[in-house]
Amino acid sequence: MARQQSAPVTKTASQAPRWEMGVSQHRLVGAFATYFMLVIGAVILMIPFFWMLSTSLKTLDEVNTWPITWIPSEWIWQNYIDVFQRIPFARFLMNSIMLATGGIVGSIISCSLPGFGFARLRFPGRSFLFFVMLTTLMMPAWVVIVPHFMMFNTIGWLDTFLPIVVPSFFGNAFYIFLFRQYFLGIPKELEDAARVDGCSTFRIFWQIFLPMSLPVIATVAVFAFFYYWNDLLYPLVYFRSQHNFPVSLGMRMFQTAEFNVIHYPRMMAAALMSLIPCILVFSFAQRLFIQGVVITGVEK
Amino acid sequence: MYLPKTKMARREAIEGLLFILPWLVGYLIFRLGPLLASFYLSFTNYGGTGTPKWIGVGNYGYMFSEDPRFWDSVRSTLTFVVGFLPLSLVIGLGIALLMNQKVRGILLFRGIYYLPAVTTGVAVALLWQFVFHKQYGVLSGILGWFGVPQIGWLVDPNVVMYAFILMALWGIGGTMIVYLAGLQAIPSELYEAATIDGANSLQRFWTVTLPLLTPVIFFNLVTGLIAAFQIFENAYIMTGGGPNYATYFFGLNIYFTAFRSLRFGYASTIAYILFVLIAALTLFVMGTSRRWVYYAGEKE
Amino acid sequence: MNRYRNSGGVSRRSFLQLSAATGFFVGAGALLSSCVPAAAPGGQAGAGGVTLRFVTNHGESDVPLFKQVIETFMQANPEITIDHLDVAGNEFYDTINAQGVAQQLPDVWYTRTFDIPVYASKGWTTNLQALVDRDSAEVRVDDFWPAQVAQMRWNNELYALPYDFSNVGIYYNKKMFDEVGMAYPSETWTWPDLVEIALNFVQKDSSGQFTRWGLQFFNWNWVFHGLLMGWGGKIFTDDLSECIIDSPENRECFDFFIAARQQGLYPAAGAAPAGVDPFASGLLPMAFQGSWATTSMRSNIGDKFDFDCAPMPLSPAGKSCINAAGGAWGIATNTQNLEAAWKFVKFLTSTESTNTLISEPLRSIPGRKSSVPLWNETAAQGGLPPASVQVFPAQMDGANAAPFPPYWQDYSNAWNNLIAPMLDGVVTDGPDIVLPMFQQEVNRLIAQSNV
Repeated sequence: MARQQSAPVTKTASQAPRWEMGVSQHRLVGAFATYFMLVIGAVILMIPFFWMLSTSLKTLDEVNTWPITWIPSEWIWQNYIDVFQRIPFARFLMNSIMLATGGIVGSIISCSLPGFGFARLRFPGRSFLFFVMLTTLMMPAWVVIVPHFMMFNTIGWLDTFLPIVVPSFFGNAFYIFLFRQYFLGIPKELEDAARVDGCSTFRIFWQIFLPMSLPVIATVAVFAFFYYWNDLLYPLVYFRSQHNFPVSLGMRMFQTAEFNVIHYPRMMAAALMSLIPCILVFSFAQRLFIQGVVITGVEK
Repeated sequence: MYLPKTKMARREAIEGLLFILPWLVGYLIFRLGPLLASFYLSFTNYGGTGTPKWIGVGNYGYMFSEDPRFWDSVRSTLTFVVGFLPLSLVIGLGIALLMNQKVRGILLFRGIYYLPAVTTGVAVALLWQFVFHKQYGVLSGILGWFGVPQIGWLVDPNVVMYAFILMALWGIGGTMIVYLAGLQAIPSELYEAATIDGANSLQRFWTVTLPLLTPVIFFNLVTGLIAAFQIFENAYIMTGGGPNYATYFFGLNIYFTAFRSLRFGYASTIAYILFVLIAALTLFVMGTSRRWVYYAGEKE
Repeated sequence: MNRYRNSGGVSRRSFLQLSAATGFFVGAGALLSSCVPAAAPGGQAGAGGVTLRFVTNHGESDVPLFKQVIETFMQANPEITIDHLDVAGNEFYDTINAQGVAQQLPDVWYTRTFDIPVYASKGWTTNLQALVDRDSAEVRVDDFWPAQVAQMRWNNELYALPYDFSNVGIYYNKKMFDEVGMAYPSETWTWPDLVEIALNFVQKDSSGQFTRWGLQFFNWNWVFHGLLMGWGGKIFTDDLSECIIDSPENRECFDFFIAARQQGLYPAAGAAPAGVDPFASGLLPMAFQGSWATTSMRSNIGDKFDFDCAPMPLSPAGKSCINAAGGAWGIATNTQNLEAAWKFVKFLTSTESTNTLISEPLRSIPGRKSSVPLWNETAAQGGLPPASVQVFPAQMDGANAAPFPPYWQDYSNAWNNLIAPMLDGVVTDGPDIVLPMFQQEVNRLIAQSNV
């Protein structure tokens, strides 16, 4: 995909971006309006979580009662203890953390490299291969799951983490695409200057592009974490022992064989607890967002 | 096709292929085989057991001429994509702009706005029943203040699509976070220069933010398109494709046909048509991209 | 425009760095993954022993019961190790179907009676008839419910042995009945009787919307089959090759329920509050429920009111409206240890195990009649309501035996899309329009499966 350089903005910064938005004269009014919208949106988005919290502290009896109570009449913290006692929830958490860690590391390594290749290096068939890569996103997982199951069964990987972690080291089209788009936005002058200084392509990637890419690395890390954390289908099909289950799958044990009967308080307690690592990861990644841009700004 | 002519260009081509190697190997191992297998299966009557029987284009002919469910999938999926995608691109950008403000507590707001995108499963399904319930739902309650009559969001075949668009918009955090990473990368010097030139905030948005954000918009457009065509989970949990096949999206149709009816041959046929549909639209979008996507690091 | 200063060494070095880095992380990933010890299937049993994979679909509250049964079995049969996995919810079908296509099914797994023809026709479950005949004294087919035996057969041969069987009765809120001054249901009531009673409870608000109904109703297809059969209708031809649901009898049956709903018999979709139990909340006096709900009803209702249950009403013509479905155990055709698996299935389906799994924890009706006395005894313990819970096993006599077809999943999908909206009042079309449409859809799918 050769594109023309039809730049609407001619002034390209040789400096790295900094954490700073435009200056506003009517900052006060703007800030107030911003806050107003942010708070309204946040309240709407948080209602469901409040409801989850409230349900997790109820008795099963109260969940099923009309009219719905938002504040439980009695706070049943025991539901949270039950989650650990009735299913090996701690084990599930551990498994999810391992799967997600492997998935993040694998995704960042195996996606930043092809992302750079597709964005900054010319080779025969680049556009074609890029499109082929995108096509892997276009088939529902149901189409490939049986062949994958057979393959991992043949090599004896069923009931291990390998069928989930190892493929993450072989690139994911979505993350590669994200890296590529980000790398395409980095000014060419930086790369050219480094070449003049005798940098190898890998060093340009490693020492110039990656440090400037912390926002996108953080984004991919967040996406990958949540993907592996929430993934249900692959663990379901590949794992045969309960002690390998991740949280996403283990949590569903609070459903029962009885028709329409789900222990919602315990399930919500488990769901909320499984969200805690997600919140931690997101906060950490956010820090990376800001820090990253500041560091590169200082360095250059 | 691009052919490297000089020695340097050849070296760059080799390096390019090395950079994309992790993905290329992964594609050959994990993707190509299953894709070819399901292409073959789409010409058979494979029912999950025994040897597939070759029936030529029988499945394709049947799908177009005799299967009303296929057309239900076409109709519902296209309606969803057309209704959801533009909204998600615009609203996602709007929220990302808000999230890029330097106001106190913005990190918390970002977390709150992203969290819904990653909350899945039974908890969410039950939650939506509360929101969309005809008589007692949160939405009916709010709309009731404005005198809007009760709407059977999830049970009325004529409005259920609006409910699905709203549900999908709730998970807009993924789109937002990609925009945010793009916004973070815009050098502040450009805003300063524009301000010196006398541009107001709206003009700065049009002349600086939007052009520099086009690679990210392109990313969100392409991945959003691909993902929206495969909408599955909410329909699977909430409506099972109903009522009256009003939400019988492609993703659901393929899942039911393959993993419930065990008609893998025919499911592969539907999957391939979906695949061709998405691929054609993606190619179209990519073809237009050179007209409107701006890349700072583009090579001639 | 590329400018290279260095030549030669650059790309080689970058290649080495690249591959070293990749290799390192692939290795690290593999190491990380292998840190978690995986149970080596088949490796646990001693020399000469076998390991059987056993998969259930029950949820955490039943896991300890299975553990107990498995331990008892393994003590008696030290040469067999049972590797149990419970997968709750509908996800169970995804994993079973993937394993079925790959011919890697668990040795023994849970098959509902409406799944038996599906698996049997695919060749996934083993035909057990010869083994049943061989060990007939131990298996005692006459101790099973005849209606369930009919459902566990495929081409007149048994493909599974029973776990439980379920049918539906009517639970009623005695307090509400007393308040309205209604007599409690009789053992021989009919659907018109039920509707007549129920309509006394119906309330509307000023805008004409119902706020109280007479019955909590479900559109479960397998239960509804019993109603259709009670009205004299047929759903399939006897050889199950065709759907013939569009008949005058069936139209009459559907019309009966739709007309009753319009008068407030049961809530239309979106009318009753979501996520709450309307019966436990006193929003309606009767619930159309199976015996499996007894335990959860006791905990949902607590001491809010006294309740009891009555048999499923008879059709207007006085015929039984009971159809049942249940759970059973099947053996994979890909098993390497048929005899061991058969031994385990016989044990699972024994009176002793059925007592442990169903009668003692008071689940749905036991799949063995000989376990029923204990079930009745458990139900009566502590004098908790419903006092008449024995109506559930009792109404198995004279139940309609309706075998399920191998295209059951297609049938259910069409039911949920076409018939359920009609019963729930989402669409205004009646059975005269919907039934021909539904029948055509099912027959289209049958024809397509036979290509």
